[in-house]
Amino acid sequence: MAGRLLLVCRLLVRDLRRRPTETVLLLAAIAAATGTLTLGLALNGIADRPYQRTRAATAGPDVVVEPPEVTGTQALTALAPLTTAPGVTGHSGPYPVAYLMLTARGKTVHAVVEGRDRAPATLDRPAVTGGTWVRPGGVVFERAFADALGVHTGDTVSVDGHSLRVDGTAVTAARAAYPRAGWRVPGTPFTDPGGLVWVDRGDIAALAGGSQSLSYTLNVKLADPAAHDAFGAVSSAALNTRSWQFIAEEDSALAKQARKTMLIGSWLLAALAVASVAGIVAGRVIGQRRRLGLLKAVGAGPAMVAAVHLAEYLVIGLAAAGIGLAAGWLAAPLLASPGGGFLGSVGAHPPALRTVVAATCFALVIAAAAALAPVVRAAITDTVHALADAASPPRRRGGRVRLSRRLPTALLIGVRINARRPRRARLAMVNTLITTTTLAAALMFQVQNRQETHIGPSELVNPDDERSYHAMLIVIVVLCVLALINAVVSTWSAVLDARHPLAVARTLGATPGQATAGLSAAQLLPAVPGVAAGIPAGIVLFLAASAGQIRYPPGVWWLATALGILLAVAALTAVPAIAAARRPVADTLRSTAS
Amino acid sequence: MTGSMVLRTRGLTRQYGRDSGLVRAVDEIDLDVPAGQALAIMGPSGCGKSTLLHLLGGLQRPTDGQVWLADHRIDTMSERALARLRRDSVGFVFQSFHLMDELTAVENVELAALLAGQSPRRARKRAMYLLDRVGLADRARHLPAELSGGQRQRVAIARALSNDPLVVLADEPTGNLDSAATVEVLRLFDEIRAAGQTLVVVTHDARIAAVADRMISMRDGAFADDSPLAGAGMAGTGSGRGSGTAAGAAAGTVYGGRR
Amino acid sequence: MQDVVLAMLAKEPAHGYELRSRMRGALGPLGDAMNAGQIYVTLTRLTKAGLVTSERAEGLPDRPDRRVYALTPAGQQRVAAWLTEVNWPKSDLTEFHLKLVAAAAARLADPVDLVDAQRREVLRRLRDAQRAALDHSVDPVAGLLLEGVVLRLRADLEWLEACERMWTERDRTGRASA
Repeated sequence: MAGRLLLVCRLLVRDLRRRPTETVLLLAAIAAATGTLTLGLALNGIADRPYQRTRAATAGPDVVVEPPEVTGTQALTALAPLTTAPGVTGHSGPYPVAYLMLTARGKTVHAVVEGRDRAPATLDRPAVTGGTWVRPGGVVFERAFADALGVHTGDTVSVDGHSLRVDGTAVTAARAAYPRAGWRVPGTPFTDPGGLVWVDRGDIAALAGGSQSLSYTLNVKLADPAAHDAFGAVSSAALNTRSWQFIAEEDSALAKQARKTMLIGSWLLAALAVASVAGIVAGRVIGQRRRLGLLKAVGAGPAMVAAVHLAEYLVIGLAAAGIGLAAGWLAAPLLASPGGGFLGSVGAHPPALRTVVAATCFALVIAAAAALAPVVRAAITDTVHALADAASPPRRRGGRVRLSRRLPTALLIGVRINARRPRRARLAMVNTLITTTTLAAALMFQVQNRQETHIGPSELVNPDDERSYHAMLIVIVVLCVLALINAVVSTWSAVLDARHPLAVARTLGATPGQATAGLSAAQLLPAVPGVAAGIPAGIVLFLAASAGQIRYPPGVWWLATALGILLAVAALTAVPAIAAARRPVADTLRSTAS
Repeated sequence: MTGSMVLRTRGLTRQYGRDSGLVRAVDEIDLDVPAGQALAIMGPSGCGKSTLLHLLGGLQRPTDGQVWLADHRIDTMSERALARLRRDSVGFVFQSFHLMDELTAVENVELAALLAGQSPRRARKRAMYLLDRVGLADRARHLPAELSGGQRQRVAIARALSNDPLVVLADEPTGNLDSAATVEVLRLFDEIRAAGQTLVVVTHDARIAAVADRMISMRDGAFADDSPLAGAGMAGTGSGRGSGTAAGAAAGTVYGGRR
Repeated sequence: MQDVVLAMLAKEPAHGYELRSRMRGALGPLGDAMNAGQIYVTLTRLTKAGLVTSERAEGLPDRPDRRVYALTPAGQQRVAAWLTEVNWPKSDLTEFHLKLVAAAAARLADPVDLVDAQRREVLRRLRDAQRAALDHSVDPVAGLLLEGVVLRLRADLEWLEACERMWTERDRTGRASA
C-alpha cells in the first residue's frame, strides 16, 4: 500500500513540476471561481451576524415604539401606558427625537437627532467606536453615517444652524444604519433616507426650536422577544412599532444587491473556469493518454489509473479552493466597509464552515468535471491505442471542407482547422459567450441612473449601489483575466495541434501571413456567434436581476463592445499564431513527423 | 494439458473492421511456448505480429479463440484481473521504450513493483539490482531524456524484469535503435535467455535470430514457417567461438565466390 | 588472397607466421576458418611469380619456418594497382532465381518450399554471424567485417521474402485460373 501511495504521490509531484505553466493556469482558473463564490457567500452573512453581535453588545431593545403623528407631551402621554403593558419586562426612554437638517463638509442632509443622557441606559446603550459618548454641546454620529459624510471626531458640524462639535462615533441596534435611519417628514408618517446622530438630552430642545416640536421614542424589552406581534396589537394603531427583526432585515437589505451580483458573477465565473480547465485538460490529454496506457501495460488496474489521474486534479482543486477562500474572505471587508454600522467586521472572523465546505466542493467539482471525461476515456481505452501516442485522430467534416473551398485562403484554413477540432471551437465560443454576457450586463448596469441618494438638499452616494458597483468591478476584472487566459491557452493549443497541417499548407504555397490569419480566423469564427449571443444574454441577465425602470445604452455602444471583444480575440490569437508561422516549415515538419 | 507451457493459444483470431473492410490481423493461430524458450516471431510490417503479441499479453482481446498464460485463461478475464496478471506475470518491452519521461531510470524500473504493492524499500533494492544487471547502475538517477536510445531500452528491459515475470514480451525492441545499440540490447536478451527467462520477441529484424531458440515467420496473420534453431538452446553466452566455423562459412558465401 | 598477402608485406618484411596471425586478428572470429597452410601456399606462388623474395633469417632456432619475406619492386607495383582497383564482389543471385523459375516451369518442386529452405539456411548463417558479433571479446575492427556480413545476409533475407511473396501469389492465381 505504501508503495502504491508513494507512486501516486511521485507521479503527481513530477507531473505538476514538469508543467508549471499549466498548473498555475489551472490553479488561477479554479481559484478565481472559488474566490468569487466565497465573496458572494460572505456577503450573505455580512449584515446578519454583526447585527446580532451589536444587539448583544448594546443591549438592543426587542421593540422600538414611536408615535408618528404627535409631538411633545401628547407623544409622552401616548407612550406612557406601554411601559406597564403585559409582557413588557423593561424599557428605556422615552428619548426625545428631532428630524433636522445637518450640514457637514458643505453638504446638508437629513439627520435623525436623538437626545440621550450621559449615563448608560438599561436598553439601547450605543457602543462607542471612536471618540466619546455625548456631552453637552457635542454630537455623536452613527458610524456608517459618519463614514458616508466623511466626518471625524473633532470636526464641527451644524444642526439647523447650531454649531456642534463631533465627540465620537457609535453603533446601535435600535435603528437601521445609514441611510435607513428613518427620517420622518415633519407632520407626516412618511420617512426619507437619513442618518442618525446623538446629542445631549439638554441640548435637543434648543436644536429643535422648542420642546413641543420634539418626537419621542421608547425602547421596550419583552418577556418573549418573538411575541412582538402580540405587543403590536396591544399598542394602539397610532403608534409605530419596529421589531428588532425588522431592523435586522433593513440592515441586511444593504448588501442584497451586491450579493446578487456576486452570486451571479460566481456562476458565470464557474462556467468560464470549467471551460478554461477543460481547455487546459484537453491540451494535456495526449500526454496523459500515453502515461495511462503505459501504467496499464505495466499492470495498473482501472482503479489505480483513475487514482493517478484524478489525484492531480483534486490536489489542484484543493489548493485552488484554499487560495480562492482566502482571497474571497480577505476581499469581503472591502465590499462591506460602507456598512460599518455594526460592531466588528466580516474578515476578522474565520469563515463559516458552510462557506468553506461550499467553496471546497465547488472547486473540486470544477476540477473533477473537467478531468472526468479524459479519465473515463483513458480507463476504457484499449491500452494499445493509448500507447499509440496519438490523440484521437481529427474527424473529417466533409460538408465544411467542401464549403471552405469557396472561401479566401485565410478563412479556408480557419474553417478547416476548426473542422479538425470542433470541441475546441466550441470551447472558444463558450469563452466569448460568457465574457460578452458579463460585459453586456455590466454595460447595462453602467447606464442605469446611478441613484445618488437624496438625503435632504444634498446627495450622497447610495451605499447599496456603491457596493453592487464594487462587486461588479471585481467580477469583471476576475472574469476578464480568466477570459484572457482562456483565449491564450486555446490559441496556443490550436497552434500546436495545427502546426503540421499548416506546415503542409505552407509547402503547398500558403504564405506565413495567410497561415497566421488562418489561425486567427479559426479562433475568431467561433467567437462571432459567442459575441452575438452574449449581448442579448447579458441584457436578459440584467433584466432578471434588477427591477424598476431600465435604461438601455445606445446601439453604437453595443457595436463597439462586440467589435472590441472580437478585436481583442484577434490580437490575442495573433501573437502565438505569428510565432508559429515564423518557424521554418522544415523544422515543423521534422518535429511533428512520427 | 498446459503442462510446462508458459503460453498457449488455440484458434486465436483478431479481426478489425467488418464486411468488405474486414482484416484478419491474427488468423486462427495455435501456439505453444514452453518455459525457458526464446521465441522470435518475424514478419514484414502489417503481418499481424504486434497484434499477436498484444493478445498474448492481454493488452487486447481476441475476436475468437483462447489464450492461456501458465494455467490462466486470459481472454475472458476482467480488466482488473488482467492488470494484476500483467503486473505479476508479464514484462513488456516496446519499440519506443515507453518510459515515463518524468521519472528517473530507477523509478521507472520500480514502477511495476510499487504497483504490485511491494514496500518502497524492497522495490528500490530490486530496481537497483536490475539496473546493475543491465549495466546502468551509474545511470540510475538519470531521466530518460539524459540516456541514449540503447540505454533507454535497457532500462525498459530492467523494468520488464522487475517482477520476475513468467514471460517477457518484446515488440520490435530494436526498431528505434542504431546498430551499436541493437548489439547492446541483443546481448542483454542473450543473457536473459541464458538465465532461463521465457521470451517472445516480435520483430522484422532478422538479427534477433542470434538470441532465439525458435523462429516463426508470420504472413497475413498466420504462421508460414516454424523452425527450431538447432543448438541454440544449449549455446550459452560464450558460444561465439563455437559457432565461429559456421560464421566463417557464412562469410565464405559472400566473399568466397571471388576469393 | 594473393593481393592481401602482398599488401601486408608492404609495411615491412615479415615471417610467414606473423602474416598469418595478423590476418587472423583482422578477420576476428571469421579468421578461425582460415587454413594454416594457405598462407604458405600463397607465398610460394608469389615467390615463383617474382613478386616476393625471401631469405633465411638467423637467431630463431625454435621456429620451423625461418624465412623472412619481402616485396620485390614488381610486388610493390602490384600492391599499388590493387589499392586503386574498384572491383566489387557480386553476390550471385542469378542462379537461385533461375532455379526457382526452372522448378516452377517443370513442376520439379514448389518454389515457395525452395525459398523457405533457402531462407532457413540464410537465417542460420545470419544467426551465427550475429552471435559472433555479440561476443564481447571481438575486436571492433574485426567486428566491422561481421557487421558487413550481417547486413548482406539481411539484404538476402529481404530478397527471399520478396521471392516468396511473388511465388505465393503466382501459385494462387495459377490455381485460380486452372
